[in-house]
Amino acid sequence: MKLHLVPLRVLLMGGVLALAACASTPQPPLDTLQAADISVASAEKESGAEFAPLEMRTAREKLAAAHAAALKKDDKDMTESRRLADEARADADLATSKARLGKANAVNQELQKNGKALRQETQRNTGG
Amino acid sequence: MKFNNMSSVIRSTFLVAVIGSTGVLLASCAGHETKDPGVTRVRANLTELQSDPKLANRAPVAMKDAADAVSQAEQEQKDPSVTAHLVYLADQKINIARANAQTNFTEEQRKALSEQNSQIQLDARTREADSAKRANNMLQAENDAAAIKSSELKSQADNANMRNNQLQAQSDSINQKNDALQAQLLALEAKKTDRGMVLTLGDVLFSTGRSDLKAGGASKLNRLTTFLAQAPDRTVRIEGHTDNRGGEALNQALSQRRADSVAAYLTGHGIDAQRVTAVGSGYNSPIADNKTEAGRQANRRVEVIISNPAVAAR
Repeated sequence: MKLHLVPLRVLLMGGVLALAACASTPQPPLDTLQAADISVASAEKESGAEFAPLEMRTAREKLAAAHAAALKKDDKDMTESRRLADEARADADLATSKARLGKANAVNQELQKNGKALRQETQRNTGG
Repeated sequence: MKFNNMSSVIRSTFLVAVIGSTGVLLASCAGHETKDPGVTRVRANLTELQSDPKLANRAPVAMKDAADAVSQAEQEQKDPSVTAHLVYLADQKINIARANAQTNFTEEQRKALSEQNSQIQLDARTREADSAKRANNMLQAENDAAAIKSSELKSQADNANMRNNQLQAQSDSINQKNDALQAQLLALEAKKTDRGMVLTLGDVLFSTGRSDLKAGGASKLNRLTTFLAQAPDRTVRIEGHTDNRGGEALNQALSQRRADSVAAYLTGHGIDAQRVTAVGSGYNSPIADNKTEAGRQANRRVEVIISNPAVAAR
């Protein structure tokens, strides 16, 4: 009898411990964090810091905070981490879009300048 | 104290009012959902973007994301911080959609700008080509004018050459004619002398002491007549000569009559009298000895001296 009771007690204790572990360590939002990482990296590649410095800064700050929150143990922290990562991603995406728009505008301005120069040149040529 | 009482009355009244109004607010919350001002704002922003004809259809994916985000933000939440978070996301997504649409619009404008610039360059090149063409045309016209002038000069030169050739041909034919006349003269047994060609008509023409032409001499005179008719620029001097038998006066008169007789024959056959001169020389110009009959026969003669052509005389 004694031999039978010991493994049962061990099993019960293990089960309790496992449940306790589950409750105290919620899963960090890894997918969301990764998506935010990628968005921030690509915004930096698109010169987001040059064309959208404000969005870029908040994206970096929020991303760092999201990672920091993910290291904590609380369920509430995980929710906070997910929200921060989502916002960081939105900020970074906006920085990317603004950078592209800025570049497109620069190209157009260059073209307009060229067109103006061309027009003046040809007018000078035909006038003279 | 009085003041304190007053203020406590006011305070309690205020408290009642606040509680009452809160009750009303809560009641209205329960009636229909309260709109968070952030939610209202993002919906308005989205609507504005969607109704911008310049941007509405230019970034469909980002636009859909923004619309979804706004709808999510509008969902009722127990925790107001969730709404704040969703409103933030919706705000950024609307901004992304606007920026993407503007980028798209800018790129579309770029095409037009590029085309404009190309058109300007094309126009400039066309104008340059036109002016080059005009310059070429002017050069061509000048060249044509020069070519016309040159061909005029050439045709003048050709005309001059042709004229020269004609003159040459005329001259040649004159020379040929002269040569032919020369040959005829030779056939008349004419001899070249300093005075011109001398044709000697022997005594066969006349009987002794007479000046009328014998019939037998006619053929020689006919040839002379033909020759003179063909060579109108030549004149003839006809000299009568005798032997020394008989007196001088007689021979002088006889030689004159014989010369006149030959001249009359020529004028009688169509030769202009102006071209014919008849002279009697008597016996003063013998060509042979008068002592022999043969010599005297040789001295009885009429010489026809044909002048060289006027051109040759010069």
